[in-house]
Amino acid sequence: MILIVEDDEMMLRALEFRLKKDGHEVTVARNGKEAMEYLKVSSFKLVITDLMLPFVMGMELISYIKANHPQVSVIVLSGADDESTVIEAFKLGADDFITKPFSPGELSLRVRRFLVRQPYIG
Amino acid sequence: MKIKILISLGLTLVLVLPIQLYSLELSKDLQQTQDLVAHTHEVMLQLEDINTKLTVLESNTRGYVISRNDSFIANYDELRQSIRAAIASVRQLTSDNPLQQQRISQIMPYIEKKIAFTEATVSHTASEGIELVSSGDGKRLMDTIREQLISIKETETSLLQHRMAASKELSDYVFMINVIITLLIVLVILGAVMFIFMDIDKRERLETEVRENESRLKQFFEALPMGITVRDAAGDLFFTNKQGRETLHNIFPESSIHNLQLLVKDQKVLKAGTDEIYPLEEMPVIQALSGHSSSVDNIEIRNRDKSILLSETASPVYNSKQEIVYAIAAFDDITNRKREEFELKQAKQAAEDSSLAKERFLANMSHEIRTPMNAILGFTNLLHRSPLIAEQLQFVDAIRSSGENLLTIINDILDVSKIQAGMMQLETIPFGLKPLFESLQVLLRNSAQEKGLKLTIECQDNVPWLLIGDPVRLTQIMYNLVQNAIKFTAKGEIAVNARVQKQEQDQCWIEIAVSDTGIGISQDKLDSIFERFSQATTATTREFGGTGLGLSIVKSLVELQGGKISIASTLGKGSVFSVLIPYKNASEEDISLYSEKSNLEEGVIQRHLHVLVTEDNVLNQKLAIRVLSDMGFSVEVASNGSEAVQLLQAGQRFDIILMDIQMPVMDGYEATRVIREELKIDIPIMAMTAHAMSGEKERCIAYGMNDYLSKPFKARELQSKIYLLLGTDALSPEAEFSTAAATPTVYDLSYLSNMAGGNIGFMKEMVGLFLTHTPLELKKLEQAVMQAQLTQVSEVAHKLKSSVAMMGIERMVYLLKELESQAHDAANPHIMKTLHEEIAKIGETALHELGKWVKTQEITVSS
Repeated sequence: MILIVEDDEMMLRALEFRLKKDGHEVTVARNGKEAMEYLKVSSFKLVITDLMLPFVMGMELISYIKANHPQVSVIVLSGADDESTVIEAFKLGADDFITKPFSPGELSLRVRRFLVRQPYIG
Repeated sequence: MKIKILISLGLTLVLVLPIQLYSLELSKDLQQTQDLVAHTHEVMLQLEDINTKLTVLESNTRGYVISRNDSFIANYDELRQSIRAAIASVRQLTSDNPLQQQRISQIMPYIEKKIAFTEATVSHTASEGIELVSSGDGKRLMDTIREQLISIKETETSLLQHRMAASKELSDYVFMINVIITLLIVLVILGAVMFIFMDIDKRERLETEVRENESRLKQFFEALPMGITVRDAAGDLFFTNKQGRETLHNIFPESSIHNLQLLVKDQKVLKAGTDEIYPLEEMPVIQALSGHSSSVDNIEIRNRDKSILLSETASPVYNSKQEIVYAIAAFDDITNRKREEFELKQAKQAAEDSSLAKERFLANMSHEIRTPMNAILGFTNLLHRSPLIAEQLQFVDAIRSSGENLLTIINDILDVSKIQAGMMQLETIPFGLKPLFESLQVLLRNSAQEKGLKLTIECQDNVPWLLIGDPVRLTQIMYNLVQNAIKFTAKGEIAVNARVQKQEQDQCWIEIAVSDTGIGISQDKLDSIFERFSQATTATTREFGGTGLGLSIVKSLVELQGGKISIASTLGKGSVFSVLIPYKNASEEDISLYSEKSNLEEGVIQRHLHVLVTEDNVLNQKLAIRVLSDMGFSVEVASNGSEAVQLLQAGQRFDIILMDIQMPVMDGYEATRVIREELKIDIPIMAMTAHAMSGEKERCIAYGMNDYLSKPFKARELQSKIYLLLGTDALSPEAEFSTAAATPTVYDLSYLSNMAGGNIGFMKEMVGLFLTHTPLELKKLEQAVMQAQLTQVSEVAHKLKSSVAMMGIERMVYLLKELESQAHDAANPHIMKTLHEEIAKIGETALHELGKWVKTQEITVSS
């Protein structure tokens, strides 16, 4: 299951549409606080989060995830030009980043990398 | 069996019945004969009786005559009566025998006479009576009767004897026949029993055979290395073979799965890799029960923590009435195979990703290096032509040759990776070998002269003047070989000679030999000379430089074209490289087209042209202006695609546009698209890009460009390409551009459409979201800008950016980016206001236009 954290409605819908089209199960949160609530009650394999979020900022969310749910992968959404923030996100434990506006193919590819399904084990 | 029994029974009946009938008939005869014997005895009894009675009658009469005692004649009448009755009886009994009748008739009067005589004797007085008796008449009568009776008796006796014999004969006959019948019956029964026994034997044998076949067949099934199950119409398990049991046992160790429906109901059968319950009707077994053969390989069975993947093929089994009674399914545990496939796929994906990354890296690297190289080499050349003192000239030469070497190395590396990746694309266009050699001569003359070498490039007369193939690659091959020869030759000459090695129906093998009088290559190095990064000795590298890729590339290029390369060399005397490449023969059509083109080229050569250079790099702009001006053309510059479009929109006329690809605001592809599709201007556009990877040219052409030149370019090449491009259009300077164009929109939904994968509903939703949210955000932005709340400005601009980008409003994205960074750097509020004004304007236009777009979509949908 993938959690998308994004306050921009269009970006949120676009990501959701695309990932659902790829056959993923998607939950959406519009701010960092909501995202944390979701993380407490459900288990996710992957979180895709924007960095500029209301209430709880993206960076805090990443630290929270990495501290409390280390098995959850995090992909950071960033503008094409904020390299410094991406590097900071990586320092906090983010696993990958996607620049906005994202290329649909790239999104699918990067997400798939984290969600390699393992139905043949056990 | 049944029939045989019936046949033997029938046969017995058929045999026995007539014989029995015959025997019945004989028995009847026997009965009759015996009756006749009895009859004869009767007759004789009667005859005896008559005799006795007559004797009694006589003796009684005599007694009476003598004694006169009445008791002697007491039953006289009765006696007489019975004698007569006996006679009548005999007469009746012998009624079938005329001889006896006759005799009886003869005897009758004597008997009557006798009776009458006795009566007379009795009725007379005693003396008379005695007299009568004494007369002896009575005795004579009596004797006659007795004689007669005896004769009758004899006849009867002989008759009796005769009849007795006949009866005996008949009874013997009957006995014999009975024996025969019995024998026959016994025989038939024995035969029948034998046949039946044989039949039973045969049947037993057949049954054993059938049983054996059955068990063998079962063994076959059992031994099959794949699971076989047979299920009846209810889905119940009817048969499973060994492999099947094992496979199922692995997953269900506690019990086997009896019913399919139950299994599905228990949510244990799933679509592989998902949590989706396998639809029962899609299972091959169920399909088979409805008469369809099918196979799938995505069945996953899960039980507790175990899971297997199965492939299954099933077919219906019919009974003799053509009704489906069973479904037979073959299944295989493909868990391992699938896992391997999966891993392989992942590995492949990873390999593809990395190859893509490599390709991108190469493309980027080549772009990043070529762009500055373009400026370096271009300006160096210009510098070289300017008045310089000797030392400066030396420096410039050094810069130039180093630059050129660097470029060669980059090109070599690119070529190698392209060949390695199989991305090297070959052209098949008509070209003349002689003109190619001429330009090669020009290209290489200087290098040869610099070393004091003689260079002759010759082409034998029988080489066709037009060939079909890849002239660029041939030039590259020849250039490399000759350069190589020059490099390793200190004095003497380099000779290139082309000849037809073999002329075939549709292709012509051209052999080109490059010979030098250089250092040569020792025999033991000849084999490795074409290997990558290989030079004859490491000392060679120090002395002559180079990457060692040249010959390897040459070899690959020759082989890519279906050709061969060989080398003959003597150490210290020189080498001969022979290249043999097949080229298609040019058709009449090719020849006429080619000559037309060359004529045109001649025709435009001295024309004055007006060129629009679209290039963002200032250095490259300057270089282009200088080079083109030197060619005698007038030049105008646009810093990006958008500017170029604006110039054209404003009605400016150009003969040709040189278009960079990577530019801010609007790149070369987009600009070309706008020019072609929206402005509908048919001006020749030549792409000039530092992207040198394969497919780039095709992409440019696909966007509507006419030709492609990779940077850094050579002035001569640029010039010839320009001339080549300007065909008939260039000859008629009055050719008009159509300026009436469709109104361009500020937005571009191609990104959105790409993302939506053609889902119009989703596109509409996104545009709708944009239309609702953007006015608010714009208002927020306006407020923030007015009140100079920098953080706010930066945040809102940042947020707006992504949705604006999604609508493809490139200019607005650019402006928002600017605004964001301005706000971030706490810049001049005036600039921010200017930026905001334009943003607001474009935003308004975009909202308006997108509103219209939504409406057109609704019309399209509803109509």
